Amino acid sequence: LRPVRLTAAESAHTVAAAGEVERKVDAAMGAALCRLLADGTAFTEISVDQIVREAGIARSTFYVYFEDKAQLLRSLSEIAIAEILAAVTSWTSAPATLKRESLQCRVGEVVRAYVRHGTVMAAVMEISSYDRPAAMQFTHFLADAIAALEAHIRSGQAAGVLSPQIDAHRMAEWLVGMTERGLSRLPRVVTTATPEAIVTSLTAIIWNVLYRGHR
Amino acid sequence: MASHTRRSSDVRARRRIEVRDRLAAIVEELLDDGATLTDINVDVLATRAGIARSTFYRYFTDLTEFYQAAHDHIIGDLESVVERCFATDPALMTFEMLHTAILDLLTGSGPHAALLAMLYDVAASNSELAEEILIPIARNRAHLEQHIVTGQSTGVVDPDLDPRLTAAWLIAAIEVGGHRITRHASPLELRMQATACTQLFWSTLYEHAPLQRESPH
Repeated sequence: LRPVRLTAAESAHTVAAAGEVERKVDAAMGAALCRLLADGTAFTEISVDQIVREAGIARSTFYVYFEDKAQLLRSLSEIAIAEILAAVTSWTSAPATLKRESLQCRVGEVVRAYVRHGTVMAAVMEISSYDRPAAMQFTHFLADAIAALEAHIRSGQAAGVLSPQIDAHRMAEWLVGMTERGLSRLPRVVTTATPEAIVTSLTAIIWNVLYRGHR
Repeated sequence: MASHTRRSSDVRARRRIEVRDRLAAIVEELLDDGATLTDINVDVLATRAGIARSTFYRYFTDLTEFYQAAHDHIIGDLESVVERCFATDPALMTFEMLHTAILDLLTGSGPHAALLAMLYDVAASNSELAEEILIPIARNRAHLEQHIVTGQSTGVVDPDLDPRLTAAWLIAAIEVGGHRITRHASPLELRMQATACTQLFWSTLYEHAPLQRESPH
């Protein structure tokens, strides 16, 4: 595992650079797929025909840009993952002395980034059972988030701010796993939860587990 | 006549369980051998099990129903661990008790980690199975939620926690732990993961409550 030390500015630059390279047609196809997913259609049931019809381009044009619809999805999830990781690192690159209000803001950024890309992330999970590149992309995403949080915990422990009894790597695995699974499940498990309540409840757990004991 | 009917339906139910367990073991073997979701179908399972396709369909209407049955079986065992653990009076809960229950959960799902992971994959594109998987998760969440409410009323659980959402987050952690974090873990690693997970639950719920108890360490 390599620790990710991407700053928010760097990540934003990566996204912007990708945006410059992307052509209009490319963006139109991505937007079309997003709209179809947002309508609630499962990714497996969406055809290339539907995508090109929605985007208003020729079928042959699609194949100039992408081998198949899975590749189009991966290009979208690459951007989604970059944005979510940028939000994660904006939290984990902060000093471990951060106040609870500040943690709440940063956790809020992570939650909002995930929710904004919720349909794309759900589709990646859906295809990762048979699409190896998507599975790798998702695995690396989790590993990057875990490494960033682990580094944050370790530096806090080194500075004497966080409890030395926290198992930095394993606790990072549990917190990242809980957050990812919870964000994909919560809207369906607790249908009445407001976005604020979701952010506050997640912040409370992270605060109690990492920061609260030592101050 | 009535007793005869009952007997034959008992036999059918028993036989269905046998077929379910045999096929679940075959799916686990196939996954161990590197098979993916798309490699698995009724033909493959029936051939490996040495049964006719028609036998499969005597007990299950389709693959989804078989997956549901396999999931119910694995989760049923785990659910009773969650239920028993959180039925404990929160004031009497100890780090050790929680650790034992979590280790049981992780050890119990460990042997089925590959099958569980595959079932969650199937559920991602199969709304029928997805609904089915959410049922025991919602029940587990309710057990933990009640535990939090009780503990808050007696001052042994952090009063700032939202009982329902906190329970949902922590059950999500257990769920992901059961098939991702502990997959391929050695017994020692499993124990250390259980300790980290117990710490997650302990610090969240009890450590910062108004009424303090002995330190977990």
